[in-house]
Amino acid sequence: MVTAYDNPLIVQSDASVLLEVAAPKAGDARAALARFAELEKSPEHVHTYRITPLSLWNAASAGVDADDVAATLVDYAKYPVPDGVLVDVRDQMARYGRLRIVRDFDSGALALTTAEPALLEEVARDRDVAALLGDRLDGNRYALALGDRGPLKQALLRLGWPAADEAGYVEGAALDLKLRATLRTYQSEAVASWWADGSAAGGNGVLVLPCGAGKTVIGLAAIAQAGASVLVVATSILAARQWIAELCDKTDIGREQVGEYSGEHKQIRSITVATYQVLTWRDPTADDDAPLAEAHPHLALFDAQRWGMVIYDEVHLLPAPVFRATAQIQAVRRLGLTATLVREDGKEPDVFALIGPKRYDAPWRDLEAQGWIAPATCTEVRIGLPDDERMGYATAPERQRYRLAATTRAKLPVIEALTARHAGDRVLVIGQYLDQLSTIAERLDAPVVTGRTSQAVREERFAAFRDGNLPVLVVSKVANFSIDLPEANVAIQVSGAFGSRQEEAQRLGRILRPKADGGQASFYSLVARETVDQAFAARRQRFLTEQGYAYTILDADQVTT
Amino acid sequence: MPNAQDIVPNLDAETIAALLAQVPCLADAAVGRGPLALSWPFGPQTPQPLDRDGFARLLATPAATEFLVLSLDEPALALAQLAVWHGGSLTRAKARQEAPTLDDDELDRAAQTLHDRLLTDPDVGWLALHPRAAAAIDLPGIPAAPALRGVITDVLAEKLHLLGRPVPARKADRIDALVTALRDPDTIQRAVDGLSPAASRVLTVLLEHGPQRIEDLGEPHWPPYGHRYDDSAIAELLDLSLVGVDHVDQLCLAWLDTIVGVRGGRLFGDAFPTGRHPSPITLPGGQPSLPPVLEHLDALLAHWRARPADALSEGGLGVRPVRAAAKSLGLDGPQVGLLATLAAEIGLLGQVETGTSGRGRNRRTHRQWAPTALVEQWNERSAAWRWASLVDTWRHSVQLSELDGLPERYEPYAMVANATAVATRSAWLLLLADLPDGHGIAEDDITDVAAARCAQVLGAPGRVAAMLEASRALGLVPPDGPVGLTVAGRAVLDGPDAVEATLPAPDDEVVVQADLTIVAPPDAAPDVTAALARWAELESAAGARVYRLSERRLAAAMAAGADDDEILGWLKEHSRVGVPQNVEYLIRDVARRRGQVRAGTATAYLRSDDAALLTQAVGVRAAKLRLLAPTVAVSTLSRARLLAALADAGVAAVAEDADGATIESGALEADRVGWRTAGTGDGLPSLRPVPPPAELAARLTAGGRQQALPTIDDDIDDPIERLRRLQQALDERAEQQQGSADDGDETLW
Repeated sequence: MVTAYDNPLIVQSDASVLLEVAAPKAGDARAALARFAELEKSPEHVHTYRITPLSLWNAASAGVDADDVAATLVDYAKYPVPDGVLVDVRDQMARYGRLRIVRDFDSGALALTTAEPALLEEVARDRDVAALLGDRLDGNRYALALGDRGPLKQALLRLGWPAADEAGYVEGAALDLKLRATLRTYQSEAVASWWADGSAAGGNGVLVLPCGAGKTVIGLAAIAQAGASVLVVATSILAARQWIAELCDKTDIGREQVGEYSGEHKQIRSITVATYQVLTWRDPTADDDAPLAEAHPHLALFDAQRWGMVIYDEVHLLPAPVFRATAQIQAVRRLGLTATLVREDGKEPDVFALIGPKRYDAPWRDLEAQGWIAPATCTEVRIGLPDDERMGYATAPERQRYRLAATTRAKLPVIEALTARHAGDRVLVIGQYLDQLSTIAERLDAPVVTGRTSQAVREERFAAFRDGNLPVLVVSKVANFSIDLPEANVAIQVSGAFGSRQEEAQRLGRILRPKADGGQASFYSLVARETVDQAFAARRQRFLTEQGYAYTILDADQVTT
Repeated sequence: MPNAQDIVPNLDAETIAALLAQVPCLADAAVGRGPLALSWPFGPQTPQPLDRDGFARLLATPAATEFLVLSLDEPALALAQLAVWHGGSLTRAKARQEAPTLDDDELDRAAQTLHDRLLTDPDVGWLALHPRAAAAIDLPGIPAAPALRGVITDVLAEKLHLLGRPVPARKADRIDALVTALRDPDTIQRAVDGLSPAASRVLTVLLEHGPQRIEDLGEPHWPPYGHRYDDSAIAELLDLSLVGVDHVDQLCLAWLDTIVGVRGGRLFGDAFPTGRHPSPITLPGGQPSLPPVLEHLDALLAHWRARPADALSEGGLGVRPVRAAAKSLGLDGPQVGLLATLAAEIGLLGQVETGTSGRGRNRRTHRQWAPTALVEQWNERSAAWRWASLVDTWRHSVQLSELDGLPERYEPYAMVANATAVATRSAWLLLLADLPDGHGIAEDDITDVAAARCAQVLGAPGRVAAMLEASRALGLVPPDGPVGLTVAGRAVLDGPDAVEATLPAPDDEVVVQADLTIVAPPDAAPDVTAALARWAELESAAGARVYRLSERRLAAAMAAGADDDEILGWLKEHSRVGVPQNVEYLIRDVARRRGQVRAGTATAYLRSDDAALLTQAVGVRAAKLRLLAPTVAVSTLSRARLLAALADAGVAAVAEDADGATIESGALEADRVGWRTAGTGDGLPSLRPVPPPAELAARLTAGGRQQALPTIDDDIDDPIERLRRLQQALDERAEQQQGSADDGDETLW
């Protein structure tokens, strides 16, 4: 094969695939590649995809075969495709579906079945798998209890023999819900790829879309598609209430049909919105080794009704007890929504095994180019520490250094200059340390919202910000997720968690909702020069730069003068 | 003594070209390289390129004849052995009869091969070996005649009697008769039929499995002299002279004559080697590219630069550091052993003295192996040149002995030039080069095919595996699957220019992205990747190379001499998409901060709270002081010498210890001597590519004297007699020429 310089792909021998965005066939190649490879990063020019066993099994479960994969790689490759990659693709894809989880009509429960008794014998000898299997029904089948479906899938995945789950779903109580909003192209594509025509192959999985791309609407469309009672799990009570508001606003459902299951209310209705906090609330009287249901009594919500579907908002934050509860309800359709499937705890495989594979993702910059999210410029402002603080920093113990650097008073004039520059815009100042935030609030004469602010005051201040009565709002990390402040177009980050990659993306997400006037969003990250603040900032920015956001770096005096 | 250049008859350029093509060691010698150039005993100290006469003299040496024989393929070698077996010459009818497995064409081709290798006299009969050739060809077994010459005449008679043959009067005739009897199938059959069961069993084992230890045959130890076990099976076989015994090694073997007799009177029986083997299969295609061996070498040198390897006390590089490097680099030990040997031969690795220990007779100098200054020159060469140089060094290495597998060590002082290894590599490369382009031999078949192609050097056990291992390590053949030269591998044998010609035009454009990565395409020009490697960390080299810019790496690069303008200039020139602002900021920022904290070397310091006093001391030039701060100065002198220099100038200073306490001057330690480093040699070896055979042949024949073969009577039919007469004529002419040369002829000798 000769080098085809017009082709967009470079297939690497470590099974990563580089996609050159500017190449003529890049669009087609991306569509074909996305079926079986994970988008790892998408900076401006060269996107990196990775072919993993998991991504290949997902592809196999969606009906893509090894020949399709090989043909895509070979046809779009610029250079010869390493043989090893093609061989691995065949090997891994051949593993999927040799074991199947099916309904056992004799017992009403499930069975693990295969055409290869030797394979069944092999996996049954694994301790984890053996503990989950029931009686041997015949040479090719083991009985499987309904509740063990999720754990068995996890265990088989770990063994490298992913089972095809053909047991299907239980239909929940019917729910008639009509969507009033029209879906954007990518939103309907996302829902369609999750639903998969209602087959057992679909109905579970994760959709990855940038903040501001309308994930809630996608959730609503999915509910309309499934037409069954639904449990929505959101990160906080504010986020839960936004779901409820959206449900009432964008669908024909009445408020009385929607229940809130939170610290304040315990309503269970055909549509119920719950928070992670209440579900994971641990009974203080429970023993340390108490069973899940006893330790976390609210997890019973999953069984409180015959749910037809569960939606996990911000699935990258899903707490461990909810994972375990989710393992029990594999017969219910599941949808995960997130902007960044980066889990700082590395539990991505559990998301895949229990919620489902990633069904759809769209590079942030693509949506921006199509006008669905606001175009954003990211700027890092480097601020030198004043001499006295520098000496203080130099002599400070390691663990106090970040706080000292991040909260330097030298950031204050820069914040003032930036808010002055953006007079007339809606500015969010986001920080980590409460004393720093209150100093800033005082200096800017702006209200502050932190975890200590009462629910009523929070909602009042957010409302004033939305209405335009408040041009500047100082917020702590409570505003990281799922707070709908559509008109915010400037975010100034003064301090953050120690290099959490998803935090910076979430914060940028606060200002990405498309603006009524089509205006730009501006994201500023203030960083103390030559300190650990700078090192953490570099790590935080990595996710966004890999999504194609280029940071411009300015010195403080370029901003203040 | 015959004049050498007459033994080699009139050679035209075509014949010489064909010869050089098939025996690369001769071509090497013609340009003054390789084991033949080294072994040429009458030449100058440094081997020189040969002219026609020199080449003719070379061909007349036993060493050259040996290499010519080593280059034979299986059928030709077998035919030559057959000729030796039959006294040096063969008629076609005889050959036909003895080699039933060859068809007519194959038989003629085998004979032609022997003619082409100048091992026969083409004017004498169908096939007549030169005596020098016959002497260089080993038979496929040990004949009985030489041993029988040591047997007394009466015993020979007894043996003939036992075999039922008439007994001639003379000893020589008795030996002839005995040998003829052994080779006679009927006689042997009768003898074998009459053997005791034990003797029959021993003979069967020897015939089927070759020579055996007497102990393994279940026979008693064979005493060299005196008493012998008359009732043993071996004694029974010895009486019939079917077998021989080696007293020293206690081995027993069946004479080749016995074997031939059992085989029906033919040397190879029905199993004359055919040289026919599976045909080549197509190699997987792909863009020609440079193999990873260069990166492996770079990584190895970097590894030993950071952690020099301890040398063995006798000077070499032991298994331990080689394996440690292999483990840390993810390579095989033998791969590292090969690279280390080649690097040392090229001069990229050298020894550094790191100190001594012990006293008197126990004094030992400690040495370490580390990259030399030549590495800098090496890195400036193109990748194609470096690869060609590695391959060339391997091809001609007389220090490396990989015939028993690649060594996991380096022995620099091998006293004996390993000519067999060179011949083996030549034969191996020739085998590969003769395959059609883009073709190879299945891995399972390669051993047989190689043995058939060059029975003597590649047929030995383990040779092919060793060659294959080295070829794969050097990237001449694909890393797995069928064995054949890759496109670039074929080109590298012709030198770096040929490699460059096969490689696709290198891409010198990269993509610089705001996430601080730089992507270089798989076919990036070597200077592009070399430049990037200086300033950025390699994140992936799994095809396209992905580098990451980081503060740490940039700072290290700048410390090593790069500056921000240079780096940014390079990036702007090579980036297809410009340089993002944050990348530019990062590079400028690192450059700005460079040098804020500095380290230097000082041996002693001088401090005083009185700045004026200190300034006065700094004024003493012999003290070599430099003021760092108003109250501190440093000197490169040792403390004792600093104090002495100051005292000479009238400045009284006292010594202090690490805690600031003053110490007595008598307790000051003596100055210490720093370590020495070894020299780095003269420079990289030049690549002296051997010109193509045709060109070389034209050069060798130009200006050389053409001499016709002396004429002899055509009516002499006996080839041996013809050869003898020819030799005689040649000798006479040689004497005449020697005389004329002495008279001032323009010959070189």
